[in-house]
Amino acid sequence: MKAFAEKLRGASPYAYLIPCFAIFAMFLFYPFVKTIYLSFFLTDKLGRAKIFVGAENYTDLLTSESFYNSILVTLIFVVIVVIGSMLLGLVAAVLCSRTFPGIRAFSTAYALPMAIASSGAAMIFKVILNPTIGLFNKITGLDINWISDPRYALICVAVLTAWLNSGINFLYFSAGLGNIDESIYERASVDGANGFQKFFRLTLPGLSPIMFYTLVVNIIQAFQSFGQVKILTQGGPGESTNLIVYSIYRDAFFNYKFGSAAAQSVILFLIIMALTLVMFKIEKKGVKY
Amino acid sequence: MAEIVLKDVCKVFEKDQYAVSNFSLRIRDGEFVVFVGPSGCGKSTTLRMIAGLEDITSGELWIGDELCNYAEPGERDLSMVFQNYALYPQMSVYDNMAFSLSIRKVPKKEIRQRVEQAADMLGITNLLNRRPAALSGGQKQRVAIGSAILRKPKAFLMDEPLSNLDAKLRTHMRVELAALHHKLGTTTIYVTHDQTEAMTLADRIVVMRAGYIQQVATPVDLYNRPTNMFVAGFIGSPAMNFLKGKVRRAGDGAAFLTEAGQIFPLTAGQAKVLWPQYDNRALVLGIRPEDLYTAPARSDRLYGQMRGTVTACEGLGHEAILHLETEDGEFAARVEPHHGAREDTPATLYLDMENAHFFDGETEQNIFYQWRNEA
Repeated sequence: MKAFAEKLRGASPYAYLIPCFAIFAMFLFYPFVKTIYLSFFLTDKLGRAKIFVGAENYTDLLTSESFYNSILVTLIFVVIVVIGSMLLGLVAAVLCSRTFPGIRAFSTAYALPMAIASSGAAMIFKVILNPTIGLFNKITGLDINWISDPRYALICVAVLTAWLNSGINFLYFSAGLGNIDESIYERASVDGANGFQKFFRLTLPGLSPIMFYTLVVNIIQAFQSFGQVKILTQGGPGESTNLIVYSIYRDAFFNYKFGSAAAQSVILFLIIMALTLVMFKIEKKGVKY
Repeated sequence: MAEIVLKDVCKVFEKDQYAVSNFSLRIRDGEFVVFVGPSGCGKSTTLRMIAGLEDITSGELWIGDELCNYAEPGERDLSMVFQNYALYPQMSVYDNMAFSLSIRKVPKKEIRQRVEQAADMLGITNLLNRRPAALSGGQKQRVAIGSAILRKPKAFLMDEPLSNLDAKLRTHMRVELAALHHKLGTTTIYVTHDQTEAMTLADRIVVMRAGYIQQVATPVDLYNRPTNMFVAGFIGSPAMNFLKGKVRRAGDGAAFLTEAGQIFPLTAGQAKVLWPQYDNRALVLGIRPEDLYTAPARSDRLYGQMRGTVTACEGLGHEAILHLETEDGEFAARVEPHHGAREDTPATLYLDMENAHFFDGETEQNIFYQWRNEA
């Protein structure tokens, strides 16, 4: 009896982990394992595994031009989004790092995209970019069908996403700037540094720890963009905005090819994981102090 | 190196709130000037105005022959040492020191030579590859000073540079700073609230209070001839003792009568100035702790006697501080270590009246300041 009580006490710490573990298992581990499982099957319309096909889903993908297009489009999209959103966030944060009248209103405005749902923002952009009644063409005097022209559609979606993601970057960078000791700028002023020298020699290196974290989060976030594509372009025109996440959605819920969708999910997961690992390797060298 | 002149410099932060008022001072080439005062007196603000980190509301600032009110901080060719050292955290010590030169596009070879020379002078050559986070407070301080000196600026500005160091290191760095100034001879403006630093380092001390200069004088002058009660009380530790009272006729001369009724004789010179001009006016007698004795030391001096109860004896080894409770308030006396007094026993202290200061009770000005200046 005593030994049993001892054992029970030894096990009690694990009991506290059960709620957390249960939630993870239900919403993360199970879908993850199930996705991998599904990627080896042909499915029926309800997504149930029917015929085991081995690696056929994968070989199909790797020989499909559409899939390579998806990956290429996604990579271009990610590059534009990450650079755009980080630049926007950084510039806004630097502008708002000084106090002046109305600073709170500006800060709120710059952080706001964080709080806007991607589909809602996409709806607004759709109106703004409308070729006949849209605000953008009216103001600029251009006559471009932004969303229906394969040359511009991807850029439009990417810029929208960059803006949406810039809100959280603004917060990260603002916090990072707040951590930089104000007096080093004063010393730099007395030392004779101008604004550019202060920015590139003090501000950027001072932000380097948070910069890395922001970069990783942004890349992952950009890979997973979905709502804006769904509302704005549905992957078109042609396949010019067929991002990999949208392609997964389309394969699963339009074409009922759950097996192929699962295989694409696994590949997306591998790409993101590989990128993250590489970045963490580089971080050890890149981040100052 | 250059002379720095301030003419009626004022600083207003918010409407009609003067942080610094009519600050006028000529700092000679090579002089070591210390701004001292309680916190909030405007000493740091004045220094920051000279550095260009704060705008000058009104007045003129001349560095050398140039009016510098509107010059950018970097154009003034000054270097500054901050209280928290303000080292660039992501740069090595070498890059920290080289920063001001590298942005001025000084050739790399010359930078290296000057950094090494400065590092050698301060004994930090072995630290050049470290980052600031890996340095102790004293080392950081040296790096900050090294960064300041290697540029050979017109003047050094130092904003409480030693206040983050522990007591022993502070004393050590104080001596080093004095030696460094002696060696380089660069004009230095130094802000501190520590009167020991002020007294030991300065050629001249500027005592400030609530934005106004109270007195500008050499350390010895400041100590012996304070212009008012504030300066008298601020400089010296333990602080000068003050006794409120008035003057009254006594025989041929005059005497000082405290509020509680103790009577102190006045010297002939003091009596001549105070009687009858200060009859019935509020007066304050100031006496430094070292001018109080447990016994009359010399027969040719005039002593006043003060009775009270000893509340505490602080033995410091080479001397002792006696705290005496009297009817006129508390007194501190710096006496011989073997004074024989015990706590909670009555004692009599003897005031060396010749060294007593007299202040006008209303204006708090030193009545004898002018008179002694002329003497």
